[in-house]
Amino acid sequence: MSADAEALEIAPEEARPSAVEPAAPHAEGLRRIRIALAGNPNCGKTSLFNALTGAHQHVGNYPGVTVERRDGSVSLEGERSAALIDLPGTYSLTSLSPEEKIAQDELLTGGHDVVVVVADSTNLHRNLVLLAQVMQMGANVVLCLNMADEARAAGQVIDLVQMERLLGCPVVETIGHRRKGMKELKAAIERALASPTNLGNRLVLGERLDAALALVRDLVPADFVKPEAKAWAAAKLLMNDADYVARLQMLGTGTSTLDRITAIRTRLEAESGHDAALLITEGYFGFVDGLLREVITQSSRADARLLTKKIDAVVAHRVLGLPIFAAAMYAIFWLTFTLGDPPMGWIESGFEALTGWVRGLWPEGSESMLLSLLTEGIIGGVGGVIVFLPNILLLFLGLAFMEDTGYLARSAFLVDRLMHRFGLHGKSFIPMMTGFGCTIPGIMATRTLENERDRLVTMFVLPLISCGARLPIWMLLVPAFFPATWRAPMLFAIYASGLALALLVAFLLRKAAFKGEDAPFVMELPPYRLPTLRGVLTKMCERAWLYLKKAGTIILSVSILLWALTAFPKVEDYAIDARVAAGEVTVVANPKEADVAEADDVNDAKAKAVAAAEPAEPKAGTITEAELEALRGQEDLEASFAGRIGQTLEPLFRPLGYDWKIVTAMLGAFAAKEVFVAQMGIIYSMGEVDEASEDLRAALHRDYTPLVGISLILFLLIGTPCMATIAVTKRESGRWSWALGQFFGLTALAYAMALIVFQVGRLLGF
Amino acid sequence: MKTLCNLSPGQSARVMAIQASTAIRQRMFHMGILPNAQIALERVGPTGHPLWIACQGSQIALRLGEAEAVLIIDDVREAEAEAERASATTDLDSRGDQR
Ligand SMILES: Nc1nc2c(ncn2[C@@H]2O[C@H](COP(=O)(O)OP(=O)(O)O)[C@@H](O)[C@H]2O)c(=O)[nH]1
Repeated sequence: MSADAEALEIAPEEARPSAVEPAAPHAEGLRRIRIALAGNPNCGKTSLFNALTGAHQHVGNYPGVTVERRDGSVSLEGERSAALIDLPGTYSLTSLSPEEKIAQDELLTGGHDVVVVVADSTNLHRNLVLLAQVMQMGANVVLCLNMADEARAAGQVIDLVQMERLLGCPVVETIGHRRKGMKELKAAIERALASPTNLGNRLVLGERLDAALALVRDLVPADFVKPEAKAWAAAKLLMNDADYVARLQMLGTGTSTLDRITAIRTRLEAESGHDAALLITEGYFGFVDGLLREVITQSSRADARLLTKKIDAVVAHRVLGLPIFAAAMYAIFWLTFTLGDPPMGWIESGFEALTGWVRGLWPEGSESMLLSLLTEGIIGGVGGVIVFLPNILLLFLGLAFMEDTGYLARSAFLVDRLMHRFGLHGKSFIPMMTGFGCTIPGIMATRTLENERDRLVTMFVLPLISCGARLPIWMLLVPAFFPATWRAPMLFAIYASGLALALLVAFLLRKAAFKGEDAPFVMELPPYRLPTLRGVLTKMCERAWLYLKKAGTIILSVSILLWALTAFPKVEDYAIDARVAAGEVTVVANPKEADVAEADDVNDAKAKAVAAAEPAEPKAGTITEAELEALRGQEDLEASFAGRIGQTLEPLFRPLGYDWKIVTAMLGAFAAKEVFVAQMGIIYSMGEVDEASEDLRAALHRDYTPLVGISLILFLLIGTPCMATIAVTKRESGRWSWALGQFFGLTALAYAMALIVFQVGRLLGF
Repeated sequence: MKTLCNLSPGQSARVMAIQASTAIRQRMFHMGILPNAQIALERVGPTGHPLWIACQGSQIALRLGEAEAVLIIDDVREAEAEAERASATTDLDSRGDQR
């Protein structure tokens, strides 16, 4: 996978001096102190990071990959501030996943003055294996035993003094989510800064292995890694790590060195009867076991997981588990959409008020292009993004809660079998469900997946799931083309085919683009923990902010572009005006507001629909001022770039049964799916319409067959994900190739499906 | 040869070996699924898998494919005998001092 290659090359932005030279005192003031946080997933690293940095942090992605990157700054003694980076949570530092590779690279080349290894005190045996690896890298370590509250409650007592003596580095206990022990942790960091140590030689993996490692270490070329990390490189070469071997091979003398290393490995494996990778991992575990035997003066009496086990007996139950999960999902979606609705209304009216206010700045009759750009291009475009914010905030609140309590992992356990059939992961389920609401938060929810491949596949297929913004389109099209009895089944069929196609495409992607073995599904089920409100809110706001940033950048520029396409060039002399001037048509004043409202609401709609079934073009007689305005709008759009593009592309879409009007409206759908409805309204000179417009339905029914309707529904369901989707896929996947591949891939699929349906349907005589 | 898939919920056993690709082996090793470790099947998913296992203080979900790669010995005495036989060929001096 190309991401792997990229991940290895995460380049430091600044020159990184070899930081951990024990002898060299730190020249303070010359460069900023750099600190890294490393630890297993779920050890409370994020909580600690938040506690240390406060608001001074930045969340983003590593370039080219889907891995989250967190940077922050922490204030130390004497007004100094240090850069703090939160490494991806990993169980080990192999080169087998982008996360681990990034963590490894950061540790080796990041030039960190101190590496804080965070460990979950309730599971030290496994957590400290990472410590052993960081020690082997020659880092200047501070060990932070987090979750001290839980460990203490279970009765575990650790002799910290003894531990410091044996390890040779500062050791502190913390309670991350309560922000306890931060002073001690900072003091420990200061101590490590004052007297940096290289713990490499404290790591004892066993006589025979250490002897073999010493032999390999002498063979590691001088510039292969930084000097302190030679032991680490030796271990990697001894266990035949593909990346290290490849790098060594590229050096001039690499091959002969490799042969000698292979000889050492062969001898070691023959003598011990196990492969080197296992021996080394066992060595780490053995070291940790030995250490813990010396420092744990009292091991836990109570089972720290007792409560967790009781809860799991119900929520992860073979039979009860799924219904409980379904209820939980339902509750989250219900809350998202019911609680999100009023604020959405407020935001909409807020933007309307803003538009009104901006309009008011231009005196009547002097409206300019700038006004149109401001109101339709900028306020309209940004408003369209911000309007989803309440939903996004609420959904992410629910998701963050599920994630931080540990329930998310249980839900993945329950649905993994189903998802895995289609090459997806149990944790893909929630993003996909979210996609029914809106594709954007769905794509962002793929962050909860641990594996890059799973994240990429899930985000690729997400637009196939019919989002909320497409509902207006279905509400317009389905009643326009199908009799009442068919409407509900059609709507269901639309949603079901979207989901089925998403699963199918995921399956094919797995077979084609991500050939080869699945990433191992070895998913930890962490103990349940009550998250703090602050922790959950922070996570929610971070993600919402990432979403909002889009409104200011890509989405804004594309909406301006789309606005320009529909606004230019302007028609100088409207045909309708000419006809009015020629006396063919007379314009009368608009009916009073009250009448209009009444006519809109009540059953007059039907009568209007009948009237509109006639071509909208006025042959003779009278039109109202509003109708005149609408007819001008129609001429504008027809002559605009968007209209011309529609007309130019028409031959391409003819085989699907579309004319230029549909193609032009689809350009609008790229801005946001629901814009399709509005564009159709303009094209049919009906001014501003919504999806419930009977006039528009009647016009569609007149101009197109139900077969075209199906073809159109298919195309809008599958193809042309909206620009926000593209933008968010770009930011979450870290590469344009994936976002554009998604856009063109899905559009091609949509074209093919619509083509087949339309042509076959025509042959069958529909 | 028995694998994790042969256990029923509630049963435990000892890991003998993991027969899988480097990626899977490494991942399992680092999660604590190592030869000689005690391993227990806690529960299974709605359709019989994934498997939910407990090993060295961690709770871990494994798919069928991964679970089949974990070879086990179910009897403790048998495990000891096996370990002893292995120790005849394995080095006790290099690892015996830590385990
Ligand atoms: N009891 C306890 N819970 C903690 C502690 N630190 C973090 N947590 C909780 O553990 C969960 C996971 O924490 P998080 O920081 O997201 O872990 P990460 O996956 O390592 O980043 C959250 O619900 C936290 O509130 C701690 O020291 N004690």
